[in-house]
Amino acid sequence: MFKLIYKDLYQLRKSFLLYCGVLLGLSLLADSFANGAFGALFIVVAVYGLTLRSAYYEDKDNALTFLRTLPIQAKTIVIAKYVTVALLLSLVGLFALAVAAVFHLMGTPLEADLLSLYLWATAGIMVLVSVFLAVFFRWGYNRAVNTIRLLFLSLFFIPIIISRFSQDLWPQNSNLVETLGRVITQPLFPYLMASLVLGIYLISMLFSIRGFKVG
Amino acid sequence: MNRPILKLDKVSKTYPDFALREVSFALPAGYIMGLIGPNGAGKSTTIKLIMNFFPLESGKIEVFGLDHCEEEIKIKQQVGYVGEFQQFYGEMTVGWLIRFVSGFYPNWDQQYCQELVNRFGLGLNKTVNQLSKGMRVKLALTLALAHRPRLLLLDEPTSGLDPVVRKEFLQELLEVVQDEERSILISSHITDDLEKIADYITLINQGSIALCQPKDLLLDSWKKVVIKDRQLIERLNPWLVYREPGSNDRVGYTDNFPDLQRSFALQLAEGQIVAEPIDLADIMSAIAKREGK
Repeated sequence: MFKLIYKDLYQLRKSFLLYCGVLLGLSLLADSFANGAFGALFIVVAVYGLTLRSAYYEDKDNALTFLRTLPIQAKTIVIAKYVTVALLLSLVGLFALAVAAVFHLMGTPLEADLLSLYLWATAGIMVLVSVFLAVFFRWGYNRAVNTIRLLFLSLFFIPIIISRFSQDLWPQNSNLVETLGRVITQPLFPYLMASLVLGIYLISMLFSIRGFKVG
Repeated sequence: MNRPILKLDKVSKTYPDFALREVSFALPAGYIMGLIGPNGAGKSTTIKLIMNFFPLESGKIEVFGLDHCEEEIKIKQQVGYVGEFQQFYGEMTVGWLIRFVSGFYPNWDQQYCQELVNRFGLGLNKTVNQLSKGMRVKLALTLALAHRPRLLLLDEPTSGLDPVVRKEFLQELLEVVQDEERSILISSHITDDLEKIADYITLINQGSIALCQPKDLLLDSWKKVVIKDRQLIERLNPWLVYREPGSNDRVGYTDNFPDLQRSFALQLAEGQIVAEPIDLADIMSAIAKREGK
C-alpha cells in the first residue's frame, strides 16, 4: 500500500507544487488573499484538482489494469487511493494554514473564524471526492468527472430554482432555517459534521472496493 | 501429463453480448500452450479471468494448485503477464517503473532484470511515452520475466510487432522454458508463431473450447482431404468435419487422419484420396466455419 501511495504522491509532485505556488503568489500580491479566507477555496480547488489529476493518470494509461497484473489485491489499490487523497487533504490544509500564519506574523489580519471556514471547506471537499472516487472506481474517469459537473450544477441551480418558484413558501421555511442555524452553532456540531463526513468517505471507499472494475 | 501448473475447470462468465461457457483445460509445468480462436472467441477473457481481473460466474481456476482468488497475491508473485496493450504510466521513466514494480516481488532478480534491459536496449532514463510499440513490449517482457515467474500469461503480446521484434520475443520465450519448470499460456492470432513454439494448442470458439491437444498430435490428426474419386465422397463423410464450399464436396478436412488412413489405406496409396498437411490457421478456420462463425 505504501508503494502505491508513494507512487501517487510522486506523480502529483509537480501539480502539488504548482497549486502551492499559486496560493503563495496570490497571497503576496494582495492582502485579500493573504488573510486566510482564500485558503478555504484553495483547499477545495487544490484537493479536487489533485484527486482529478491522480485519477486522470490511472485512466489515461489504463494503469489500474496494470496495477491489477501486479501482486496487489484490488481492495489495496482502492484503499491506497483514498489514503492518498486524505493525505493530500492534510498537506494542502496544513500548507494553507501555514501560509495564513506566516502572513499574519507579517502583519496581515486574519479572517475571523478562519478555522471554522477551513473545516467547512475540508468537509465539502471530502464529500465531493467521496462521490468522485466512488464513481471513478465503478464506472471510470469520464463518468466521475461528469457526475461532479452535474453535482456542481445542481448545487448552484437547485437553490436558485427553488427560491424562484417558492417565494410564497419562504416565510414558512424560515423556521427551518432558524433551526438549522441553531444546530450549526451547537458545540457538538463540528464533531457531528466530522463524523458524518468521515462516514461518507468510508462508505464511498467500501462502495469502491465492491464496485472496482478493470479490464 | 505431469501435475498441471494451471487448471481451469468448467469456467463460465456471461456478458450481455458474450458468454464463456464451461472452459476447461490444464497446462503442465514446462510446456507452452497456445490459445487460438477467432476475434471475440474468449481468449482474452480467459486470461483475464486467470489474472482475477473480474470474478468468475462458476467453475474453478487453480494456479500452482492454489485457488486463484483466495491465494491471488501468492500466485501473482510467481506469474508474469504481458497484455496486448502495454499499460504503464506513460510519463514515468523505464528506470522508475522497474523500481516500482520490483517492490512487489520478493523474488525479483535485479541482475537478471539488468541483463534483460541491456539485451533489449531499454534506456532507463526514457519515459514510457518515448518508447516505440516494440520497445514497450520488451519492457513488458522485462517486467514479466525479472522475477523469474513459474507461469507466463501472454495475451496477444506480439500483435502489432514487426517480424524482427516478434522473432526476438519468441526466442526469449523459448529460453524461458528451457529449465522445464516454467510454463507459458500465450494467446495469439498469429498461428505461425504458435506453430513454432507451442507444445499444446487450445482452440476457443464462441466462448467454448473446441479442442485442446498436443500440437504435434493435432497437426497429425488434422489433414486436408482431396477426394479425386467421386464415388468415395459419401463413404468419407463420417471422417470429415467440414467441406469446402464450391469444391463439389471434393475438398474437406478431417480431424481423425490416422483412422481415415487405416480405413482408406488403398485409396490413399492409389491417389484416389490425397491428404495434405494443414496448419493451425486452417484448423481454426475449419472449426469456425463448421460452427457457423
